[in-house]
Amino acid sequence: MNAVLNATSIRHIAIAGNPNCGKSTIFNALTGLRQKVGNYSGVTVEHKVGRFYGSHGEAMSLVDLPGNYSLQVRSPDEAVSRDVLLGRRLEEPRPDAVVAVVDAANLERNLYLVAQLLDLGLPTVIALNMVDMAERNGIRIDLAALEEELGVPVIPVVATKGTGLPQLKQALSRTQLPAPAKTPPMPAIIETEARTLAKALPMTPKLAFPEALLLLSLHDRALEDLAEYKPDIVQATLDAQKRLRDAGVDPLCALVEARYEWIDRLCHRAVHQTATGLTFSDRLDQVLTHRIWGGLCFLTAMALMFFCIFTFSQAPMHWIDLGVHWASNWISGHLPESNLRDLIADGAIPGVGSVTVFLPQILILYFFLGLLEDSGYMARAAFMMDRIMSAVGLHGKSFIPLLSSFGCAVPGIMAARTIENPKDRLVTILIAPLMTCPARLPVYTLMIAVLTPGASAWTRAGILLSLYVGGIVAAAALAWVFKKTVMRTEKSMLLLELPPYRMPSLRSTVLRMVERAWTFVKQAGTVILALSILLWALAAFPKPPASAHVTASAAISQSYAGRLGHWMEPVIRPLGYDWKIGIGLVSSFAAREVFVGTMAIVYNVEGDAKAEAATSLRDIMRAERRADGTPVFTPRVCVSLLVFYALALQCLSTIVIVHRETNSWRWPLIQIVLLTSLAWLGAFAVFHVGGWLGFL
Amino acid sequence: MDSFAPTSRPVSIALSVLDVRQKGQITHLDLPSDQRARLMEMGLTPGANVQLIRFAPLGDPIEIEVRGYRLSLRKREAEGIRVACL
Amino acid sequence: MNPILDQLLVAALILTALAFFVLRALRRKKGCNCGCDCTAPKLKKP
Repeated sequence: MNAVLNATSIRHIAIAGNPNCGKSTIFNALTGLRQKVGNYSGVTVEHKVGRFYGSHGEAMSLVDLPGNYSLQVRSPDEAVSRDVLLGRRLEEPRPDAVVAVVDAANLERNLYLVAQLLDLGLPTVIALNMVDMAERNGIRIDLAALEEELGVPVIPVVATKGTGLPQLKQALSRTQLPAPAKTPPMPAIIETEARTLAKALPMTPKLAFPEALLLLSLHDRALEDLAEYKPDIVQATLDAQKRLRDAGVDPLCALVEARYEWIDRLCHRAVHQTATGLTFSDRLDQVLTHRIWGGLCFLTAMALMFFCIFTFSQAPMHWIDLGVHWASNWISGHLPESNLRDLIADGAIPGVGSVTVFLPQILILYFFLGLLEDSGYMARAAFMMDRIMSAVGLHGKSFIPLLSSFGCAVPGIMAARTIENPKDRLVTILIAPLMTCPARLPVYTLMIAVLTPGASAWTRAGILLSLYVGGIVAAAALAWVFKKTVMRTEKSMLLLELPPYRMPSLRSTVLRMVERAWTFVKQAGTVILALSILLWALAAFPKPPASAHVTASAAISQSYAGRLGHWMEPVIRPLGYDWKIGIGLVSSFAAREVFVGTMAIVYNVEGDAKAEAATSLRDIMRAERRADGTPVFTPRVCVSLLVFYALALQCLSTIVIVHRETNSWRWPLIQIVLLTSLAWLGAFAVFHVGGWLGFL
Repeated sequence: MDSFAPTSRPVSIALSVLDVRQKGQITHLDLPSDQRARLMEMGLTPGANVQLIRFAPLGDPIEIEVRGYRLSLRKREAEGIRVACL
Repeated sequence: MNPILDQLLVAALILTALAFFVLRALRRKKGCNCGCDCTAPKLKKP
């Protein structure tokens, strides 16, 4: 069946290929800004579709499929690619043609997927990408021979420079796109079984044959995939597999070997490698993954990254903070005194502001993550860290997401997408908030000041460091427990490809940074706005009678938030807290740093000058006494509170992002419950152990 | 084609015990079926040449070169890949 | 500001915020919520 370019229908083209072969670069080069990024329903895989214009000006739709090594899928990403190619997904019609992007420097493995794509019978065009790199590595490719062996057009391309793209467009614009002239050979016995099985499938023979091949290749653990098919088809598949096994043939292995034999013959004919010395990439790796130098470089790189994040974000954060205050004051000044004014000025604006203020850090972190990914260094980081990560049951790829969470959990959790195994990914996401993020610092600073009045900076730094370490230890312990119990996976493999180092494209890194940040703002912004309003209402209502002159402190204590604090007291008294701290806990549910501001209100600290207020708040809190005269903020209580904030999940943005990344509210809720319980237990333990040890 | 049974080569060692920069040819894969399938799809088929490139700074995982590209595997996985030294 | 108008506006905003979450939860229930690959292959299509 040939795909005919029809004046009324638009041609749908899919770009498929291995990860790291430059698919997205080609996609971006062809579609430019005419692209839309969404989500496939039911999975957290990006749906990238765009429009480009062929040589005759006709519009064509282009979908950028997630990279996969094979149509035998191992991850949700790969499943989406397979499903789109088989026409199973609602978001995309079955493609009229496929562009198979192949890395010219890595032809053999790339051609494995091509073999499977050719089996699909769709019109295919090969984009032989990165031919410049291949040439530099001494690889010479006979294009004519390759075209002849493959039976489809082969277009050499250098996506980053734009070479070959017009030819690619031309190849896709032909009025008639022919189906592949030949398909890779396969063992006769398998072909026969596949044809028989295809007859049992309720689709056209053209579609049924590739589907049958895939079904036959399903092995033990993937047999759950069969659950989606009708029982007679399942039975037919199992019977066919049994027949093959009785004949001494393992379908998948036989197919793989046949395909690679074909690839070997093909490459022997069309690809000539002149021996070169070590490639540049290899020489770089000798340093960067060296036993000693590698580690040092890595630590330096990470330290540099964080340094940049913190220094470059200071100024923008300050501006945003000023802007938020200005907006709040403007509203207060320009709206008549009313609840509405308070809602906007004291609820909505500060609520959204407290999250927006972290946007610079988030942006810079995304930028660096993009650079790391593009350059290929991310894979090396996972390679070097895998040993440590495996010790607690995690994957080497979990390292960067967790490290990033020290800057902000939001980009960190999003970076977890690179982890293929869903359970590993989930565990990483669940423990990410335990990495101490900057939002905890105001709370830590305050409580450490209350705890150690005259202590030196070293003591305070020491306490701070132990809190950081405590977070890491808690995360490791939690991951280990997960892996032993709920999230047990049957030996997942590392299988990490180490692509050659590449100069990262500044343009695409910045583009991706902006795209991700914008998605975050849109998603989080709406939820956070809504929750800010609700939290404000909790603290503002019910209003004390207008006649009585009530301090802000008394007002808040009889509000719903205050009542919640009182009501919670039995739960938090074992931790050593009173209801005033309870209010603080309630209000910092959305954002940790709100605790400081709330305490200031509760303890009646007036004044705008933050530094003064901080000192006076600290003194006031230290002087605070319970009914029986004992101090509220004893050292035990302070440490208990510190531990609570180290472990608890008190960040709306995180909750929203986890929701988005897991496509459900179930996991964010589990995470909240889990981490809050952990925080409670930790604070409880610390408080009571402190008592036994004789601390006041 | 029977791809389960090991070929009758006398000297067949685990990939993980090769020396750095040493090459070998895969004889068979002694692993659970889905792991074996996945590794084969990635190019680690019987008869393919592999080269051990390096060990990670902490000793695990290892980096190998196969079919023209670099792949890193855990030692545990590499143990199941049997090669004949070249 | 007219106190009744004030109360109405504030109540409206608060209710909208609540409704936001309720609606999201309901919409999730209707659609696929399992976080898995919910596309059953469309085998009925010829």
